[in-house]
Amino acid sequence: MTATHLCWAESGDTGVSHVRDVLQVRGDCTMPHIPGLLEEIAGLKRAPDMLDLAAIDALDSAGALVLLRLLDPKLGPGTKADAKAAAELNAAENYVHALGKFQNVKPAQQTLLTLIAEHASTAAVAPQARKSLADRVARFGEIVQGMWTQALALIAFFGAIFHCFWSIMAGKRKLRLTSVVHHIERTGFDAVPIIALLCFIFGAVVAYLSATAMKDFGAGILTVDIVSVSFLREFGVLLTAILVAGRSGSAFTAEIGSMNTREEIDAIKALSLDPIELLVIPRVCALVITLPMLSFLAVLAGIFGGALVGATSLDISIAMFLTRMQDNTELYYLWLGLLKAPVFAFLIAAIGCLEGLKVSGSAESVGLHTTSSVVQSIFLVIVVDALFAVLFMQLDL
Amino acid sequence: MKAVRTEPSWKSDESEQTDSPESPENIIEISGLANKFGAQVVHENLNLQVRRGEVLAIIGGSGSGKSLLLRSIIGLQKPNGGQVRVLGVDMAQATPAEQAKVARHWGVMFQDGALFSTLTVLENVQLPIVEHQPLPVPLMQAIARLKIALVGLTPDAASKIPSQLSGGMRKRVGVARALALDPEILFLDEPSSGLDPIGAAELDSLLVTLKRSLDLTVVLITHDLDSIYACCDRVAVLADKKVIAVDTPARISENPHPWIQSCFAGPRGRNAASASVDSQTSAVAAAANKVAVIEHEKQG
Repeated sequence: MTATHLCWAESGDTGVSHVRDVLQVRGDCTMPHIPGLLEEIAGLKRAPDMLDLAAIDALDSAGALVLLRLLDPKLGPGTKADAKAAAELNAAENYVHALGKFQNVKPAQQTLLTLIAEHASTAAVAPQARKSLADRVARFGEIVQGMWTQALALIAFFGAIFHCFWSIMAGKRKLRLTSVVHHIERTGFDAVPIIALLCFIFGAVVAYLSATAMKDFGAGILTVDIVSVSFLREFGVLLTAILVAGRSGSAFTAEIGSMNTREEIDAIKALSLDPIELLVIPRVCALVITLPMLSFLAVLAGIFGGALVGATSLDISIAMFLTRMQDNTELYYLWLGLLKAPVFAFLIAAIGCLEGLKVSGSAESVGLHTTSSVVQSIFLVIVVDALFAVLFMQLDL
Repeated sequence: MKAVRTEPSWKSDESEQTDSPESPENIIEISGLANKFGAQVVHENLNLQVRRGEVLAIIGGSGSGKSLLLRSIIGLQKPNGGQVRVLGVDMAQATPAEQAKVARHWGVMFQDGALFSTLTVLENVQLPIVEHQPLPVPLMQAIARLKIALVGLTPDAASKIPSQLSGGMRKRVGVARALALDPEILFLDEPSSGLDPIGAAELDSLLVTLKRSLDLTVVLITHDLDSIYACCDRVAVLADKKVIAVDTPARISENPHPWIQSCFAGPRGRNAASASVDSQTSAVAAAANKVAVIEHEKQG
């Protein structure tokens, strides 16, 4: 760096040379030459009283700023580093006082220097104060309070949805059927391939796992029961709910959220329409209809995966699998599983829509709320699933 | 400090040229530009020259392809035909490295500022410097603060994030970021739309000052006749898929083309034209006044 710079300097580039207390500045004082200029300034023994700009070729705003700072007694050469840092933080009003310290300035550059001197201030950004323990405790409190208000908002939103739904039932408002069908297609049909494939794979994995564990007891045939019971009661609906939360819940938040950033929600309200009726109810209805159907599909795919693994590598033929399933598995397991689906669907859709409505202004906020929506809905789906498990246990189902 | 030179006068014409790719009279030359989307032809055989050191306004009706023209110049839109030369470099033929070199010599302000939402105002303005010309942090901050002050924002705006700013402030920060690297060309997409009249007038006088003192060439897209009269040297009118006229605002307003006539001869056009004479003389007077004051201080 130094070598090239000096080479440039001899051929007549940026350079600083002392003539008594007047410092001559030469060459280009522009952005690309500033590193070299700074190096030379750092090499100066004392601060100059005057700057002579007669030999300067090009000056831009950054160069002008460097020259003005060179004339600042608090920032110029000869000042110690820590004193400099302190001076950076002490806001001087501007550099207008330094304007008289230039000589032989061309008119265009005078205009520039004046402009820069009037607008530049030495104030740097103060580093952020370290957080005290009290701040951290307060932050923890804020988070807890935030969770509480969020929970209240969610419950209030459930109420608002039910209220709106009730008005629709009573005929006071309209159900947007086109919108419902649109969302059934988006959240239902379009999700079939991914959900079927993943549950098929998961069924195969469960079959392998249980076969490995049961073989030692000579009870390989129990694989059939494990696969069918687990998918009928739990995995079918749970996997579907988690996938749908990630796929459609997040889409709801992003759609409504980006409408919110473009003030579309405000426009809906200003037209004295109800965003819950227009946006939320169709999505909730669509998901409550599609999630049970998707869950049923997931159960089929999972059991098929298990059966295929049984037939190919566990010596359990498809016919044997089906007979065993018919003998040992109760039909009401399927109903127990599918019973949970509308509840999960309602939770996912409501959280997705609420988070979307909470979006404020920026695109960044859309991202934050989408994340929050997926995390909340998966969390609640698993918690509610556990509650169902306890309930069914108590009811001896 | 080994490089103490004794020669009192010297020139660096060569270094000027290593600095910027080339210094032709026309800083931007567009010839035969064509842009189409499917069957929809937006530009056809469009020609435009931008001279060094001028403020050129591009005007035209909605959907006449003003923004698309800007995007074609700065390389965000690959044209279907024709040639765009910026600083003497043919942007379509240039390698990515050459394009990047040219791009360092322009600053762009997008319509809504296009600020990075996760960064503060100061960091937004500082970013081009950090990425392209790393300097000591206090100096970079000082440069960024200077640019923020130049566009007329108060220092406390520096620590805000874009979503805390109003539309007008975001535009100003956009200009500040465009100015961060001291570009030769400044592109502004509708700088005065969404600003109150006072803010728009301030932005106009800011442009005039910047152009004078920073040697800027400014290309701006605008609908605002006031700012055309207040700060533009020439106006390019975009209509019928091409630039139909380029001239000074006064002469453009006498052009018989129906769109120009309905634009300039309408009530808004006449008001702006009559107001322009006063504002231009006052801007020049203010600048002259400042220089005089400085000279006076030096002598006294």
